[in-house]
Amino acid sequence: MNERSKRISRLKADQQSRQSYVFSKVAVLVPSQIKALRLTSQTPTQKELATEVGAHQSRLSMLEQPGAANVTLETLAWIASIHKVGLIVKFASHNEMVKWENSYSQDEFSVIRLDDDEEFLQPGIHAKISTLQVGSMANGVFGIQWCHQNDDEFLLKARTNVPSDESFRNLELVGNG
Amino acid sequence: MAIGGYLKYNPKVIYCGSVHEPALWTFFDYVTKSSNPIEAWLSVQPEGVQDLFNGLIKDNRKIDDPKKWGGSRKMKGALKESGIWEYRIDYVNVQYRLLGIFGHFRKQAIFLIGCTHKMKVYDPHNCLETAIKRARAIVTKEEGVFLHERKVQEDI
Repeated sequence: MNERSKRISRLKADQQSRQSYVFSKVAVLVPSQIKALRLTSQTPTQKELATEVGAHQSRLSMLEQPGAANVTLETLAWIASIHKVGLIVKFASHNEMVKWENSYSQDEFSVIRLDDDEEFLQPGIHAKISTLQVGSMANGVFGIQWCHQNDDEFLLKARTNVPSDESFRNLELVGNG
Repeated sequence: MAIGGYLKYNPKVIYCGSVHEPALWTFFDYVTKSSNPIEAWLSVQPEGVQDLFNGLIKDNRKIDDPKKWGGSRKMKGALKESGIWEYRIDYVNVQYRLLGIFGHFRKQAIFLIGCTHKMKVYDPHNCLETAIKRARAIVTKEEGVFLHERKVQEDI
């Protein structure tokens, strides 16, 4: 029986083993996300962030330390509020948990902050622009970006990878919502 | 250059990158012909501690800059001079530490010794001296000292 099989047997049989297993995932990945939020914020050092939010640096440090803090939902909501992001806490299958762990990367973890959360701030914008028939425009289009201008106007930017198609290389369309 | 240190992570050095840089960090245990002291130490710690270290390695191997690693701390004095850093996790009011150095090649980290730390008491008590000794043994490629890759389990 290999190590994995042994561990699976323990997980099936022992509640304490299951608790320890789940805790180990959360106790690493939550501090990692907290650190990532800080590093990608306007206040990337603990010292700066502590000054900004009026907290002790030691408290912020502890929250980023794997296993150190018994983080409550209230604390997580506080961290979310500091960084102007939302928070999802949900139960999941073990398989889903491991898949999430494997796909997670602190370097790539990025959350849209409230000030930039256009879909939250203006829910209608994407519904408006989705009525345009983008697919029929041309072959070779590889990048399309929708940029909201104001309540009634939108800007469509399209880029192509076809070298000869200079006219379409950087195309901008302005339309009315 | 500090023992086992990476010039890449020296703030005075401008690193220009490399196309040969591996995507993930690889972690090794310091081993001798007769034993793997890292595995021997870790295997007798609570299951929760083993899980936490495994989780930490799984997460940190994807983080390019080790200064951003979770649970990692710089050391002071002779340990710093030897290029030694530590992974620290807290579990049931005890600090568990794995001391390590960077390897000779890019994105390689080597664990030297595991210990606990509570109320200024290290267990084993001479773990800091042992770490320095082992770091030196690796740098000087001492006979009978090897590196054993620590496998990361993706499926659990």
